[in-house]
Amino acid sequence: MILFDALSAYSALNNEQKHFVVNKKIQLNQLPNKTLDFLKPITKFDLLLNALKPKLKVLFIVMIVLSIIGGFGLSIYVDSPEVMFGGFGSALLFAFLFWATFAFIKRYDLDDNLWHFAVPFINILSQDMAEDEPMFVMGDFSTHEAKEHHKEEINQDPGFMKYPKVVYNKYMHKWLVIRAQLINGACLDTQITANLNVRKKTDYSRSNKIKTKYKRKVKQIVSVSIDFARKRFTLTPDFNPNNRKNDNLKLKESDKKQRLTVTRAIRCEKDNGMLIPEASLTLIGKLMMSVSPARKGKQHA
Amino acid sequence: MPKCEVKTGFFILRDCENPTNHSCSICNKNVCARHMRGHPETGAPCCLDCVAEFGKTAEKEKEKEKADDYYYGPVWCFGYRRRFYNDSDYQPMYSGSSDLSIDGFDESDIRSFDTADEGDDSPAEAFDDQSVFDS
Repeated sequence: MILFDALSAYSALNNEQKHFVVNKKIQLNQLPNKTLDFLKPITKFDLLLNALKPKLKVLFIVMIVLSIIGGFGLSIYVDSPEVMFGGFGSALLFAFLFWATFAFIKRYDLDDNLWHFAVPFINILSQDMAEDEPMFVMGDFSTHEAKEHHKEEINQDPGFMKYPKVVYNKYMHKWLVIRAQLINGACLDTQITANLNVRKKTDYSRSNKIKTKYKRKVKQIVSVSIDFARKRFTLTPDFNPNNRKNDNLKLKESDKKQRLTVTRAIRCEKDNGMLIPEASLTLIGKLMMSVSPARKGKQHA
Repeated sequence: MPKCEVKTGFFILRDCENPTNHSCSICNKNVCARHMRGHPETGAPCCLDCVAEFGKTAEKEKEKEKADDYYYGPVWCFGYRRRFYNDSDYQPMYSGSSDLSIDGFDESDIRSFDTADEGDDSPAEAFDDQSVFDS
Protein backbone atom coordinates (compact mmCIF):
# COMPACT_ATOMS: atom_id res chain seq x y z
CA MET A 1 0.00 0.00 0.00
CA ILE A 2 1.26 3.42 -1.00
CA LEU A 3 0.70 5.00 2.43
CA PHE A 4 2.98 2.43 4.07
CA ASP A 5 5.52 2.79 1.26
CA ALA A 6 5.48 6.57 1.84
CA LEU A 7 5.91 6.11 5.59
CA SER A 8 8.76 3.68 5.03
CA ALA A 9 10.40 6.06 2.49
CA TYR A 10 10.12 8.84 5.08
CA SER A 11 11.64 6.75 7.84
CA ALA A 12 14.56 5.90 5.51
CA LEU A 13 15.50 9.61 5.31
CA ASN A 14 18.31 10.89 7.51
CA ASN A 15 17.79 13.79 9.93
CA GLU A 16 19.05 16.40 7.48
CA GLN A 17 16.70 15.14 4.76
CA LYS A 18 13.75 15.01 7.18
CA HIS A 19 14.50 18.57 8.21
CA PHE A 20 14.41 19.64 4.56
CA VAL A 21 11.10 17.84 3.96
CA VAL A 22 9.47 19.71 6.85
CA ASN A 23 11.28 23.02 6.42
CA LYS A 24 11.26 22.83 2.57
CA LYS A 25 14.37 24.99 2.37
CA ILE A 26 17.82 23.98 1.33
CA GLN A 27 21.16 25.71 0.95
CA LEU A 28 24.07 23.59 -0.21
CA ASN A 29 27.49 24.34 -1.63
CA GLN A 30 28.92 20.96 -2.53
CA LEU A 31 29.59 18.62 -5.44
CA PRO A 32 26.44 18.29 -7.58
CA ASN A 33 26.55 14.49 -7.27
CA LYS A 34 26.34 14.85 -3.50
CA THR A 35 23.37 17.18 -3.88
CA LEU A 36 21.64 14.68 -6.18
CA ASP A 37 22.36 11.85 -3.72
CA PHE A 38 20.83 14.00 -0.99
CA LEU A 39 17.69 14.71 -3.03
CA LYS A 40 17.14 11.22 -4.48
CA PRO A 41 15.39 9.58 -1.48
CA ILE A 42 13.40 12.79 -0.93
CA THR A 43 12.14 12.64 -4.50
CA LYS A 44 11.10 9.01 -3.99
CA PHE A 45 9.12 10.01 -0.90
CA ASP A 46 7.53 13.02 -2.61
CA LEU A 47 6.43 10.97 -5.65
CA LEU A 48 4.80 8.43 -3.31
CA LEU A 49 2.88 11.27 -1.65
CA ASN A 50 1.81 12.50 -5.10
CA ALA A 51 0.56 9.01 -5.99
CA LEU A 52 -1.27 8.79 -2.68
CA LYS A 53 -3.26 12.03 -3.10
CA PRO A 54 -5.74 10.98 -5.85
CA LYS A 55 -6.27 7.53 -4.31
CA LEU A 56 -6.98 9.07 -0.95
CA LYS A 57 -9.53 11.45 -2.47
CA VAL A 58 -11.42 8.55 -4.10
CA LEU A 59 -11.28 6.54 -0.88
CA PHE A 60 -12.51 9.53 1.09
CA ILE A 61 -15.58 9.92 -1.15
CA VAL A 62 -16.30 6.16 -0.99
CA MET A 63 -16.04 6.21 2.82
CA ILE A 64 -18.45 9.17 3.08
CA VAL A 65 -21.02 7.39 0.88
CA LEU A 66 -20.61 4.15 2.87
CA SER A 67 -20.95 6.03 6.18
CA ILE A 68 -24.20 7.65 5.04
CA ILE A 69 -25.64 4.33 3.84
CA GLY A 70 -24.36 2.51 6.93
CA GLY A 71 -25.75 5.14 9.32
CA PHE A 72 -29.10 5.02 7.56
CA GLY A 73 -29.16 1.20 7.75
CA LEU A 74 -28.16 1.17 11.41
CA SER A 75 -30.87 3.65 12.38
CA ILE A 76 -33.53 1.51 10.68
CA TYR A 77 -32.56 -2.07 11.45
CA VAL A 78 -30.59 -1.95 14.69
CA ASP A 79 -32.05 -1.29 18.11
CA SER A 80 -28.99 -2.17 20.16
CA PRO A 81 -27.20 0.99 21.43
CA GLU A 82 -23.85 -0.90 21.57
CA VAL A 83 -23.98 -1.60 17.83
CA MET A 84 -25.05 1.99 17.13
CA PHE A 85 -22.15 3.37 19.20
CA GLY A 86 -19.78 0.87 17.56
CA GLY A 87 -20.89 2.02 14.10
CA PHE A 88 -20.48 5.71 14.89
CA GLY A 89 -17.19 5.02 16.67
CA SER A 90 -15.81 3.26 13.58
CA ALA A 91 -16.93 6.16 11.38
CA LEU A 92 -15.19 8.62 13.72
CA LEU A 93 -12.03 6.51 13.72
CA PHE A 94 -11.95 6.45 9.90
CA ALA A 95 -12.55 10.21 9.81
CA PHE A 96 -9.62 10.73 12.18
CA LEU A 97 -7.36 8.47 10.08
CA PHE A 98 -8.22 10.43 6.93
CA TRP A 99 -7.64 13.73 8.67
CA ALA A 100 -4.25 12.51 9.95
CA THR A 101 -3.24 11.29 6.48
CA PHE A 102 -4.26 14.57 4.82
CA ALA A 103 -2.39 16.53 7.49
CA PHE A 104 0.67 14.31 6.91
CA ILE A 105 0.57 14.95 3.17
CA LYS A 106 0.07 18.69 3.58
CA ARG A 107 2.96 18.99 5.99
CA TYR A 108 5.46 16.91 4.06
CA ASP A 109 4.50 17.50 0.44
CA LEU A 110 7.15 19.41 -1.53
CA ASP A 111 6.69 21.54 -4.62
CA ASP A 112 6.81 19.30 -7.71
CA ASN A 113 9.35 21.64 -9.29
CA LEU A 114 11.92 19.89 -7.08
CA TRP A 115 11.86 16.62 -9.03
CA HIS A 116 10.49 18.02 -12.28
CA PHE A 117 12.81 20.99 -12.66
CA ALA A 118 15.57 21.35 -10.04
CA VAL A 119 16.87 17.77 -10.12
CA PRO A 120 17.18 17.45 -13.93
CA PHE A 121 18.63 20.97 -14.12
CA ILE A 122 21.33 20.18 -11.53
CA ASN A 123 22.07 16.90 -13.31
CA ILE A 124 22.53 18.63 -16.67
CA LEU A 125 24.68 21.46 -15.30
CA SER A 126 26.90 18.93 -13.53
CA GLN A 127 27.78 17.49 -16.97
CA ASP A 128 29.60 20.75 -17.76
CA MET A 129 31.44 21.11 -14.48
CA ALA A 130 34.84 19.87 -13.36
CA GLU A 131 34.57 16.79 -11.14
CA ASP A 132 35.85 18.62 -8.05
CA GLU A 133 33.85 21.82 -8.60
CA PRO A 134 31.08 22.58 -6.07
CA MET A 135 27.66 23.89 -7.07
CA PHE A 136 25.73 26.38 -4.96
CA VAL A 137 22.06 25.49 -4.63
CA MET A 138 19.52 27.52 -2.67
CA GLY A 139 16.01 26.12 -2.91
CA ASP A 140 12.72 26.91 -1.24
CA PHE A 141 10.12 24.31 -2.17
CA SER A 142 7.34 25.58 0.06
CA THR A 143 4.02 26.60 -1.44
CA HIS A 144 3.97 29.93 -3.29
CA GLU A 145 1.04 30.99 -1.08
CA ALA A 146 3.01 30.82 2.16
CA LYS A 147 2.70 33.95 4.34
CA GLU A 148 6.39 34.77 4.02
CA HIS A 149 6.01 35.22 0.23
CA HIS A 150 2.98 37.51 0.49
CA LYS A 151 3.70 40.94 -0.98
CA GLU A 152 0.47 42.84 -1.44
CA GLU A 153 -3.27 42.70 -0.88
CA ILE A 154 -5.70 44.86 -2.85
CA ASN A 155 -9.23 44.86 -1.50
CA GLN A 156 -12.04 46.19 -3.70
CA ASP A 157 -15.04 46.23 -1.40
CA PRO A 158 -18.01 48.38 -2.56
CA GLY A 159 -19.54 48.28 0.94
CA PHE A 160 -21.76 46.27 3.28
CA MET A 161 -23.94 43.77 1.35
CA LYS A 162 -22.76 45.21 -1.95
CA TYR A 163 -21.20 43.01 -4.61
CA PRO A 164 -18.92 42.07 -6.29
CA LYS A 165 -16.24 42.09 -3.62
CA VAL A 166 -12.82 41.36 -5.06
CA VAL A 167 -9.60 40.70 -3.18
CA TYR A 168 -6.28 40.39 -5.01
CA ASN A 169 -3.33 38.79 -3.23
CA LYS A 170 0.12 38.94 -4.75
CA TYR A 171 2.96 36.61 -3.82
CA MET A 172 6.59 36.69 -4.87
CA HIS A 173 8.59 33.56 -4.18
CA LYS A 174 12.23 33.15 -5.17
CA TRP A 175 12.45 29.39 -5.02
CA LEU A 176 15.67 28.45 -6.76
CA VAL A 177 19.15 29.92 -7.06
CA ILE A 178 21.91 27.88 -8.65
CA ARG A 179 25.46 29.08 -9.12
CA ALA A 180 28.24 27.12 -10.72
CA GLN A 181 31.51 27.51 -12.51
CA LEU A 182 31.47 25.65 -15.80
CA ILE A 183 34.39 23.70 -17.19
CA ASN A 184 35.20 26.44 -19.71
CA GLY A 185 35.64 28.98 -16.90
CA ALA A 186 32.28 30.73 -17.36
CA CYS A 187 30.33 31.38 -14.16
CA LEU A 188 26.62 30.69 -14.28
CA ASP A 189 23.93 32.14 -12.04
CA THR A 190 20.30 31.03 -12.42
CA GLN A 191 17.46 32.47 -10.36
CA ILE A 192 13.80 31.54 -10.56
CA THR A 193 11.03 33.54 -8.94
CA ALA A 194 7.33 32.67 -8.98
CA ASN A 195 4.87 35.55 -9.17
CA LEU A 196 1.47 34.33 -8.05
CA ASN A 197 -1.74 36.37 -8.27
CA VAL A 198 -4.81 35.05 -6.49
CA ARG A 199 -8.16 36.70 -7.15
CA LYS A 200 -11.00 36.04 -4.76
CA LYS A 201 -14.31 37.27 -6.13
CA THR A 202 -17.57 37.17 -4.18
CA ASP A 203 -20.68 37.93 -6.20
CA TYR A 204 -24.24 36.85 -6.96
CA SER A 205 -24.44 33.76 -9.15
CA ARG A 206 -27.04 33.19 -11.88
CA SER A 207 -29.29 31.50 -9.34
CA ASN A 208 -29.03 34.65 -7.19
CA LYS A 209 -26.93 32.98 -4.51
CA ILE A 210 -23.78 34.58 -3.13
CA LYS A 211 -20.75 32.60 -4.27
CA THR A 212 -17.00 32.98 -3.97
CA LYS A 213 -14.64 32.06 -6.79
CA TYR A 214 -10.86 31.84 -6.77
CA LYS A 215 -8.57 32.32 -9.73
CA ARG A 216 -4.82 31.70 -9.55
CA LYS A 217 -2.25 32.81 -12.11
CA VAL A 218 1.40 31.83 -11.84
CA LYS A 219 4.19 33.43 -13.78
CA GLN A 220 7.69 32.05 -13.39
CA ILE A 221 10.48 34.59 -13.92
CA VAL A 222 13.59 32.74 -15.07
CA SER A 223 16.79 34.77 -15.02
CA VAL A 224 20.16 33.46 -16.19
CA SER A 225 23.47 35.33 -15.96
CA ILE A 226 26.80 34.09 -17.21
CA ASP A 227 30.11 35.79 -16.54
CA PHE A 228 32.60 35.25 -19.32
CA ALA A 229 36.26 36.18 -18.77
CA ARG A 230 37.46 38.53 -21.51
CA LYS A 231 40.67 36.53 -21.94
CA ARG A 232 38.67 33.46 -22.84
CA PHE A 233 35.59 34.68 -24.66
CA THR A 234 34.54 37.38 -27.09
CA LEU A 235 31.06 38.37 -28.10
CA THR A 236 30.03 36.96 -31.47
CA PRO A 237 30.02 39.52 -34.33
CA ASP A 238 26.24 39.28 -34.74
CA PHE A 239 25.59 39.86 -31.02
CA ASN A 240 23.18 42.72 -30.60
CA PRO A 241 21.37 43.16 -27.28
CA ASN A 242 18.99 45.65 -28.90
CA ASN A 243 17.67 43.03 -31.28
CA ARG A 244 14.04 42.24 -30.44
CA LYS A 245 14.75 38.56 -30.73
CA ASN A 246 17.15 38.87 -27.80
CA ASP A 247 14.35 39.29 -25.28
CA ASN A 248 15.66 41.07 -22.21
CA LEU A 249 19.26 40.29 -23.05
CA LYS A 250 21.59 42.56 -21.11
CA LEU A 251 25.32 43.07 -21.29
CA LYS A 252 27.41 44.41 -18.45
CA GLU A 253 31.11 44.84 -19.05
CA SER A 254 34.16 45.37 -16.90
CA ASP A 255 37.89 45.18 -17.59
CA LYS A 256 38.14 41.48 -16.86
CA LYS A 257 34.74 40.05 -17.64
CA GLN A 258 31.50 40.49 -19.50
CA ARG A 259 28.24 39.48 -17.88
CA LEU A 260 25.35 38.46 -20.09
CA THR A 261 21.92 38.24 -18.52
CA VAL A 262 18.68 37.08 -20.01
CA THR A 263 15.30 37.03 -18.29
CA ARG A 264 12.09 35.42 -19.42
CA ALA A 265 8.63 35.36 -17.85
CA ILE A 266 6.82 32.09 -18.37
CA ARG A 267 3.08 31.99 -17.78
CA CYS A 268 2.25 28.53 -16.46
CA GLU A 269 -0.77 26.76 -17.88
CA LYS A 270 -1.47 24.92 -14.66
CA ASP A 271 -1.90 26.86 -11.45
CA ASN A 272 0.74 24.74 -9.70
CA GLY A 273 3.39 26.66 -11.67
CA MET A 274 5.27 23.59 -12.84
CA LEU A 275 8.31 24.33 -15.00
CA ILE A 276 10.25 22.17 -17.42
CA PRO A 277 14.07 22.20 -17.65
CA GLU A 278 13.94 23.72 -21.17
CA ALA A 279 12.77 26.96 -19.53
CA SER A 280 16.26 27.73 -18.30
CA LEU A 281 18.35 25.56 -20.60
CA THR A 282 17.27 27.46 -23.72
CA LEU A 283 18.28 30.70 -21.99
CA ILE A 284 21.70 29.31 -21.09
CA GLY A 285 22.03 28.10 -24.68
CA LYS A 286 21.18 31.59 -25.89
CA LEU A 287 23.91 33.15 -23.76
CA MET A 288 26.45 30.50 -24.76
CA MET A 289 25.68 31.16 -28.41
CA SER A 290 26.37 34.88 -27.88
CA VAL A 291 30.07 34.27 -27.26
CA SER A 292 32.86 32.42 -28.93
CA PRO A 293 36.22 31.39 -27.51
CA ALA A 294 38.77 34.18 -27.76
CA ARG A 295 41.36 31.92 -29.39
CA LYS A 296 39.67 30.31 -32.31
CA GLY A 297 41.34 27.04 -33.21
CA LYS A 298 40.97 24.35 -35.76
CA GLN A 299 37.65 23.40 -37.28
CA HIS A 300 36.71 19.79 -37.61
CA ALA A 301 35.44 18.37 -40.83
CA MET B 1 45.19 1.14 -25.26
CA PRO B 2 42.24 2.71 -27.14
CA LYS B 3 40.46 5.67 -25.55
CA CYS B 4 36.77 6.11 -24.77
CA GLU B 5 35.09 7.84 -27.71
CA VAL B 6 32.01 9.07 -25.86
CA LYS B 7 31.46 12.83 -25.85
CA THR B 8 30.74 14.20 -22.40
CA GLY B 9 29.15 17.51 -21.45
CA PHE B 10 25.93 19.23 -22.38
CA PHE B 11 26.61 22.83 -23.44
CA ILE B 12 30.34 22.18 -23.75
CA LEU B 13 31.19 18.92 -25.47
CA ARG B 14 34.52 17.26 -24.85
CA ASP B 15 36.22 13.90 -25.30
CA CYS B 16 36.16 11.43 -22.42
CA GLU B 17 39.47 9.77 -23.36
CA ASN B 18 39.51 7.26 -20.49
CA PRO B 19 41.48 4.18 -21.54
CA THR B 20 39.30 1.17 -22.33
CA ASN B 21 39.25 -2.28 -23.91
CA HIS B 22 35.49 -2.42 -24.43
CA SER B 23 33.29 -1.33 -27.28
CA CYS B 24 29.58 -0.63 -27.71
CA SER B 25 27.67 -3.61 -29.13
CA ILE B 26 25.53 -1.29 -31.28
CA CYS B 27 27.74 1.55 -32.59
CA ASN B 28 31.15 -0.14 -32.02
CA LYS B 29 32.58 2.98 -30.36
CA ASN B 30 35.23 2.39 -27.69
CA VAL B 31 33.53 2.91 -24.33
CA CYS B 32 34.96 3.17 -20.82
CA ALA B 33 33.24 1.64 -17.78
CA ARG B 34 31.90 5.05 -16.75
CA HIS B 35 29.98 5.49 -19.99
CA MET B 36 28.88 1.91 -20.47
CA ARG B 37 25.52 0.42 -19.53
CA GLY B 38 23.73 -2.82 -20.27
CA HIS B 39 21.17 -2.70 -23.08
CA PRO B 40 17.68 -2.49 -21.46
CA GLU B 41 16.45 -5.53 -23.44
CA THR B 42 19.44 -7.69 -24.29
CA GLY B 43 21.85 -6.69 -21.53
CA ALA B 44 24.66 -6.35 -24.06
CA PRO B 45 27.25 -3.62 -23.27
CA CYS B 46 26.25 -0.31 -24.86
CA CYS B 47 27.40 3.30 -24.74
CA LEU B 48 25.14 5.83 -23.02
CA ASP B 49 24.16 7.37 -26.37
CA CYS B 50 22.79 4.04 -27.65
CA VAL B 51 20.95 3.24 -24.40
CA ALA B 52 19.40 6.72 -24.46
CA GLU B 53 18.44 6.27 -28.12
CA PHE B 54 16.64 3.02 -27.26
CA GLY B 55 14.44 4.68 -24.65
CA LYS B 56 13.48 7.80 -26.52
CA THR B 57 10.02 6.81 -27.78
CA ALA B 58 7.22 8.83 -26.21
CA GLU B 59 5.54 5.90 -24.45
CA LYS B 60 8.79 4.76 -22.92
CA GLU B 61 9.61 8.31 -21.83
CA LYS B 62 6.26 8.70 -20.10
CA GLU B 63 6.62 5.35 -18.41
CA LYS B 64 10.09 6.17 -17.15
CA GLU B 65 9.12 9.64 -15.95
CA LYS B 66 7.06 7.98 -13.24
CA ALA B 67 10.15 6.31 -11.83
CA ASP B 68 11.63 8.23 -8.93
CA ASP B 69 15.21 8.06 -10.24
CA TYR B 70 14.39 9.01 -13.84
CA TYR B 71 16.09 12.42 -13.83
CA TYR B 72 19.11 11.36 -11.80
CA GLY B 73 21.07 9.19 -14.17
CA PRO B 74 23.41 10.04 -17.05
CA VAL B 75 21.21 8.05 -19.48
CA TRP B 76 18.49 10.69 -19.24
CA CYS B 77 21.08 13.46 -19.77
CA PHE B 78 22.48 11.80 -22.91
CA GLY B 79 19.03 11.29 -24.40
CA TYR B 80 17.91 14.78 -23.50
CA ARG B 81 21.12 16.30 -24.92
CA ARG B 82 20.45 14.94 -28.40
CA ARG B 83 16.83 16.10 -28.25
CA PHE B 84 17.86 19.55 -27.05
CA TYR B 85 20.35 19.99 -29.91
CA ASN B 86 17.69 18.96 -32.42
CA ASP B 87 14.82 21.04 -31.00
CA SER B 88 16.71 24.24 -30.20
CA ASP B 89 19.16 26.32 -32.23
CA TYR B 90 21.93 25.53 -29.84
CA GLN B 91 25.31 24.54 -31.24
CA PRO B 92 27.52 23.13 -28.49
CA MET B 93 31.10 24.26 -28.02
CA TYR B 94 33.55 21.45 -28.63
CA SER B 95 37.06 21.47 -27.21
CA GLY B 96 38.20 17.98 -28.23
CA SER B 97 40.02 16.68 -31.25
CA SER B 98 38.27 13.49 -32.35
CA ASP B 99 36.10 12.82 -35.37
CA LEU B 100 32.58 14.00 -34.57
CA SER B 101 30.92 12.39 -37.57
CA ILE B 102 30.68 9.03 -35.74
CA ASP B 103 28.42 10.79 -33.22
CA GLY B 104 26.18 12.05 -35.98
CA PHE B 105 27.43 15.66 -35.81
CA ASP B 106 28.49 17.64 -38.82
CA GLU B 107 30.47 20.85 -39.02
CA SER B 108 27.42 23.08 -38.74
CA ASP B 109 26.17 21.37 -35.56
CA ILE B 110 29.05 22.38 -33.34
CA ARG B 111 31.43 25.24 -32.63
CA SER B 112 34.88 23.76 -32.20
CA PHE B 113 37.91 25.48 -30.72
CA ASP B 114 41.34 24.78 -29.40
CA THR B 115 41.89 24.84 -25.64
CA ALA B 116 45.69 25.09 -25.75
CA ASP B 117 47.28 27.49 -23.23
CA GLU B 118 44.01 28.16 -21.50
CA GLY B 119 45.48 26.95 -18.23
CA ASP B 120 47.08 30.35 -17.67
CA ASP B 121 43.77 32.17 -17.70
CA SER B 122 41.77 32.71 -14.57
CA PRO B 123 38.04 32.07 -14.83
CA ALA B 124 35.53 34.87 -14.57
CA GLU B 125 35.17 36.04 -11.00
CA ALA B 126 31.44 36.01 -10.77
CA PHE B 127 28.70 36.92 -8.37
CA ASP B 128 30.70 39.37 -6.32
CA ASP B 129 28.14 42.13 -6.49
CA GLN B 130 24.89 40.51 -5.53
CA SER B 131 23.45 38.52 -2.70
CA VAL B 132 21.54 35.27 -2.96
CA PHE B 133 18.76 36.59 -0.85
CA ASP B 134 18.20 39.93 -2.54
CA SER B 135 14.65 39.13 -3.51
